[in-house]
Amino acid sequence: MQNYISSKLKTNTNDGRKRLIGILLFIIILALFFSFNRLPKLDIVGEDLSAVTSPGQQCFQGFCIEREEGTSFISKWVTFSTTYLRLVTVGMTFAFVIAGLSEAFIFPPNSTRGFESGSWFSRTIKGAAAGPVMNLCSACIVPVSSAFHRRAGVEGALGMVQGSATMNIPALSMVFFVFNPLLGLSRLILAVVGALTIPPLVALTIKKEPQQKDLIDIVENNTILESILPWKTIFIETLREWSKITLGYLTRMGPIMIVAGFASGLAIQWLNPGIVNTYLGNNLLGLAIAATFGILINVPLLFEIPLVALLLLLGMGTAPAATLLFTAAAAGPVTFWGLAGILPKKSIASFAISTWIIGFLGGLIVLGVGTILWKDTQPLKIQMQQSKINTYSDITETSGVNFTTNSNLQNYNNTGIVILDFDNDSFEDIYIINGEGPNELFHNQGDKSFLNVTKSSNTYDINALGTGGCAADYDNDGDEDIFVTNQGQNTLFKNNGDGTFSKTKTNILNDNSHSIGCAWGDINNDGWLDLIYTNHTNNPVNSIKLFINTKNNEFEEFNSIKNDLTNYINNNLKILQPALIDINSDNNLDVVIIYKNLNTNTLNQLIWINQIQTLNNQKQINLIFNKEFLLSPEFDQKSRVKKIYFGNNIVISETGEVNLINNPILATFFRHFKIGWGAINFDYNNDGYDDIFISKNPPDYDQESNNSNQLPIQLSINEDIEKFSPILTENIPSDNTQINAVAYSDLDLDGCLDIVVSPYKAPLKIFHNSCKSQNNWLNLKLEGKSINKNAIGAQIHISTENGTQIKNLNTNVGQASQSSSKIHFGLGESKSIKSLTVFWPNGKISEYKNIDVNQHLSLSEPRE
Amino acid sequence: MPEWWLEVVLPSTIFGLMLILWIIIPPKNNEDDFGSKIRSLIIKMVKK
Repeated sequence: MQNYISSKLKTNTNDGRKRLIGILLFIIILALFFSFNRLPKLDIVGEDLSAVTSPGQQCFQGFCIEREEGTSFISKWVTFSTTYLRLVTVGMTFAFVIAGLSEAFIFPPNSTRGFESGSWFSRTIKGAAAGPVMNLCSACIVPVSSAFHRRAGVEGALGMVQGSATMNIPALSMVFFVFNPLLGLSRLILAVVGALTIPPLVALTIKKEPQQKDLIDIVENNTILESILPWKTIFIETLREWSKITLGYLTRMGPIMIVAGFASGLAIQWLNPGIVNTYLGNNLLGLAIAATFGILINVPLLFEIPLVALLLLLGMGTAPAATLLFTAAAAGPVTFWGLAGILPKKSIASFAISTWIIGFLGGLIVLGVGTILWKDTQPLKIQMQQSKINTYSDITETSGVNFTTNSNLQNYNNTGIVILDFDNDSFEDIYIINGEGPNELFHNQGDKSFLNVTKSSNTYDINALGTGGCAADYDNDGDEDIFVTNQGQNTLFKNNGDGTFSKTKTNILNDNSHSIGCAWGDINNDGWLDLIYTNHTNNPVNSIKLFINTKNNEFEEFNSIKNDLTNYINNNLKILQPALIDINSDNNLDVVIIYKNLNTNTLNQLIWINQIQTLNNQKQINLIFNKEFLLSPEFDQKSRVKKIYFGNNIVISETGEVNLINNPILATFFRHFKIGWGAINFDYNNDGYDDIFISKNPPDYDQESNNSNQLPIQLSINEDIEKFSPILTENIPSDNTQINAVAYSDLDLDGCLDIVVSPYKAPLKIFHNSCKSQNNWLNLKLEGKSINKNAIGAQIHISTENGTQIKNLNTNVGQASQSSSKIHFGLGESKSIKSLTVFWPNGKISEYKNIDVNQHLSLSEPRE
Repeated sequence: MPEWWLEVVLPSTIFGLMLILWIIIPPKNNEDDFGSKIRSLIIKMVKK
């Protein structure tokens, strides 16, 4: 038996012994390589794919399309190239080591055994079969295939390159996972066709190689003459050869790999959606360019997949994708350069050309087949998820809104945004309050464009130092009026109903304090909107002003909370934004005030629960101070929408559980919010769960605590009630602008909420929601009859197959600002609304059944 | 440990080790390659 094994393995020869040692070493190294590099690499490819398919920002190996401004070309190039080189370093090391091992141990120059030389077909098959075992990129496999070339010729060497780079199992598995079956199948077929046809085609173009048989005869004679050396001697001698050959590959190919990495990085930098759409479409030009581009770049093993996925998302056609998926993997400049060491130049040219042709023809077939199959299919499976993600684009430039804010934040003169529909045309307009300069009103034209109507509407307040504002129909004449908080006397713009406003003189304006934010709400349920606003002042009694609307343009100050203010407010508390919200679902609006504690540098809220009493047939407000109300565990939990009061930016909606501190994820947000200014909650993707948008805080905010941290603009996706996904900054085109205020509205009535942000001493920005989501929605406009016309304080319950949602009509969202006065429900995949119930502020209830989704609905308070 | 430590440490270790082996193992047939030249140089320096 021993003799049989010995004769089979030829261990009675020096080469046989070398080969056996080499094979054992190869198995060990291969096992280590797979364990520590190839298997973890699947995760890296996965991360790249996640980055590629993340909404709004596509990245491939550190290079991101639409990268934020300020990243220089050189920086992007170096980042991409170094990432590329990092990815190939371990693979190349393995390749050099295995190439040296092959040459020294497995196929020594005078080798007599190994893979039989056989016919061209046999050699091709052997190369193509050995390649996937190596699992290296086309450039990395070259050293090994060079060694293999000794025994298997051109066909074997090229078969090994093709097999390793295009037919490896992870790549073939992943293409089916990532792409649709057509692309996956085309990649598989092109890989097999390429590995079987390119090697013999190339061999045909060059002169006949020295006969393998001749070589064998020579070395066999040498073998007969040599003496058999001990295992140890053979091992040590060949170890030296192995080291020498490996280092030779390193010095010859290492520098060219570095150059190639930077060259590929340079080529990638020119990718942008415009170029991809223009030159990589589903046409012959697209196929030709894809084939050429694929030949001109080297990618690390498997990384052709995220690259192609990225280009597909940028607009590349499916047919060029099929071409590129093959050619990018199959060969590249480094591959050609490496093979030029063992093959004639003519064969390198024929290798490149044949790879190009097969890639092109493959794309052509996909183009033909695709025209039959493509109708409703996406080339990228992951794109199906991508298509459901709403993204935002900056439409400021085309919107006609040209407004640069001017504010002095050290005086808390932020530039609030008020969303209102001043002309009742259903398209909500934008009123922007300027810190130091005239305010401006932009009329929504309905087509994502706006007209500056400040002068014609008489809404500029040229000498005022503006802070915030709130709009509502306080005089119940059917149109929204605007109250503006100023540093100094505030302003009340009464809507004349004809597109113009008049400055009104009322007793609520007899206050020259530095006001911050305001809110309208019918706190005594008499059908007339009352006003609350906050002041920066050292006098606690004057810090919160609540005025009851006594009709006829007159207000009466509500003084009963002044004892609470005297007892609680001190110089360490900086009062910020007020809100009137029914937080305990008793149909009475309660008072919420956000303040900043300068000692602890945290934000918190003061709560007054409104327990209206009826005395002598008259309703009387009874505000009960309850600072800890929001942390009460028995708080209403019937809503699946969380009620979150964050920072100075409040709102966030509605009824629901509020025990935020026990939720680590939300607690994190809570900490963040202590320095964020503008924050809004809204269902940006119509999935039925409110999301949170936080704006970057102004630069000199928190100066008291020397806290110079600045939040980025960020949108946090609420995927379900327990999980806010990691902050996704890429949904909002971000820059370095700090934001004072933010508001939302469905400005173009497309069913998705857009965002308006007011930056610090920079142009106002409007971000349009792409509304790509397949999710359904409902947008409600409520109109009061016997109650306030805006129906502020109404609560709406809707029931769908996915459960119940509850929202309150409250517009004060975010610091010094006001968002849409419509109520927007995201419905996810729900096809209809089983029931819709409106609890009007006066206690009336309206019930509706089987409401269609995806509509803007106006509901009026019933007469009876 | 930085992300790139493997990419630096692994090749450095492997190629460094191979360079040492190339130098310290005597050539089979008195080959005049880079490794043997360094080896001779080191031997001369040690003998001095």
